[in-house]
Amino acid sequence: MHATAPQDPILLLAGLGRRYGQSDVVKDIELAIPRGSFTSILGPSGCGKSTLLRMIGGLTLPTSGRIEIDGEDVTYLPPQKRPTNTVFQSHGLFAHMSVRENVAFGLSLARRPREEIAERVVDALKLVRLSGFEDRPVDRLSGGQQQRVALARALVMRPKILLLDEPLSALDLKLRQAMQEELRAIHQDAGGTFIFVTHDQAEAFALGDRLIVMNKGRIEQAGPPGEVYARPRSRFAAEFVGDANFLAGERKNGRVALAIGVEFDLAGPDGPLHLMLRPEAARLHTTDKGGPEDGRLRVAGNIVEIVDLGPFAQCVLELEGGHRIEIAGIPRTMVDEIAVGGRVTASWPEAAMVDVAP
Amino acid sequence: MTGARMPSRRLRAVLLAAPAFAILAVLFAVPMLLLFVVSFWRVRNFALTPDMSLAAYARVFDTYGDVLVSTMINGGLTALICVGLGFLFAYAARFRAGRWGDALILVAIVTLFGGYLVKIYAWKAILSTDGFLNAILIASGLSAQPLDTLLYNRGAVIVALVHFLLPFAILPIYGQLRNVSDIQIEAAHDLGASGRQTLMRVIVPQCRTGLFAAFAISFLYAAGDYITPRFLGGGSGSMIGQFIAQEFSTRFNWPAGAAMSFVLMAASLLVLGLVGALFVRRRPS
Repeated sequence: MHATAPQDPILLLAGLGRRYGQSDVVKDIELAIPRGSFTSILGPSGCGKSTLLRMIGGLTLPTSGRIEIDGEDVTYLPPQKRPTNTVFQSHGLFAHMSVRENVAFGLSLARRPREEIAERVVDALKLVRLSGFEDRPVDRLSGGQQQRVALARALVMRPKILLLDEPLSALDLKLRQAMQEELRAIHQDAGGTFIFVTHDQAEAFALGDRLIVMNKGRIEQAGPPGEVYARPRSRFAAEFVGDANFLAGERKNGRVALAIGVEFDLAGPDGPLHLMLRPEAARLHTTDKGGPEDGRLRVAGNIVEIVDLGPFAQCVLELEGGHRIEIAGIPRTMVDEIAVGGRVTASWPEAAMVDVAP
Repeated sequence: MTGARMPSRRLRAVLLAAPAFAILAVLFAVPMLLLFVVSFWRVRNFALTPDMSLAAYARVFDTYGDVLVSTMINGGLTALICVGLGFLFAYAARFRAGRWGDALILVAIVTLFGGYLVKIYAWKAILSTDGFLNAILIASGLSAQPLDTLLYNRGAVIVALVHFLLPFAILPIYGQLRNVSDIQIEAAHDLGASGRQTLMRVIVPQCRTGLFAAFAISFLYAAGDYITPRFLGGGSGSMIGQFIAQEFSTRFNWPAGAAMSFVLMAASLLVLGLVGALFVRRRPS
């Protein structure tokens, strides 16, 4: 389902690219964003995610491709003519204005009636839980409060698409998590389409109902967060959204032989392949009971490292031939039975392994 | 309570401010006070005589009323032009020059090395009847004979003063423009502001005090200047500073000079107060 375009998308990007001199910062972006969705764009710094967001908002012009918002071509429209609003990483509040004046800025430029402005400003500040702060100068607010004013300033415009460019990354962890919850609630209350750019994997998963992983100016994978996590299509995507084991192997006539010394059936073309296994998909056994008929692969090895996290533990297992795999989510009851140097068996369902491009 | 070894915060503040305060007190406040007293005295047989007379002040308005008004106009025009050009330059350096902004400001400051008298003589050379500008006008056929209206008037004084004072006007404006972040500009556009609206509602309001400082520096300097009008001013360009200097030196009429100084100061403060009321709006608190 991730491959097909959604019905009636609010945002459509076609062949979108941005080139600076000789380097493509963003290249060949094909993307359709469903109306009302909350999309997280996740990628390392310098992957082009902010540039992509700025092109949607009109703050950076593309060098190729097309941007459509709600069926209208806005590729070369200036930001003031687009139905988008942006919340910036460093809020960019107008330092000479009060909270009220900041939030009212866009509406007063749009020449809305005085009563409507007053009402919408009050509503927007209520939405970001800053009622009563109307007359404060913005430079006397805390970082989190300033970012919420910036959010209200954008939300009050009721943009078709709200663009959020790492708005929480300047805040400390506690505040960031609280703001994530608020953002989710605001998306539910206010409606509209949100696109959120971040380099923080946990934040991307906590916020978005859709996830886009970017790398080197291209979209690596797009889809629901759970699907991207469970079925990554590339090694980069697999590693960027979580921990992963990569098992090299060779396939011949539908039979895969892994370097760690196990074989199983998996349809596909002959040749070398790489399979990804999430550390928590494997289970640890001190005594081996099952047989090959239950659809699980089994390998024996020695524990070389244990990290006790409290409720769970994770460990590194050394297999025959020096291959190492990481296993996570080991339950508390098991932790007391294992020790570094101990011999154990690990097992996982064949279906848990995902074929990724090397 | 403070410890025995650590001076209190207040004492330290006093100690830090003391040298500057002493200089200001000795070199500015005390002479001012003396001059203020002298402005009520009289001169008899070339000797200062203590008195409580307002004669010197009356003389200022009788004799120098026109020059005083003319001085305010010259100073005001000079300051307005400096603020206007200074803002354009500072704006270009901050928002259009990219990473060369600071270099542009450095260039503006370097022009101060030219010196003050050198600039006056340069303008004399440019504007005189056999000067540079007339040579161009004649060579290009725009004028059949040299114009003698370029020099010795209000315009010549203002041009030379602007040339000298512009860097002083640029600096405070640029300093404040640097506090307006690029993100603020982008946010303004994002919220629907055109370039002009961004300028008038986001940029200018945030450099109000810089604009006022630029105006005040240029105005005070220009209004108090007596060298430029002496060399370039002629009739319409003459300013009260010249006459104050005369009263003190050749006429040895200290009370008159002192009274003129205080009237000039009061008039200048009045102009600055009016302009300040326009420039600087109280922020919400």
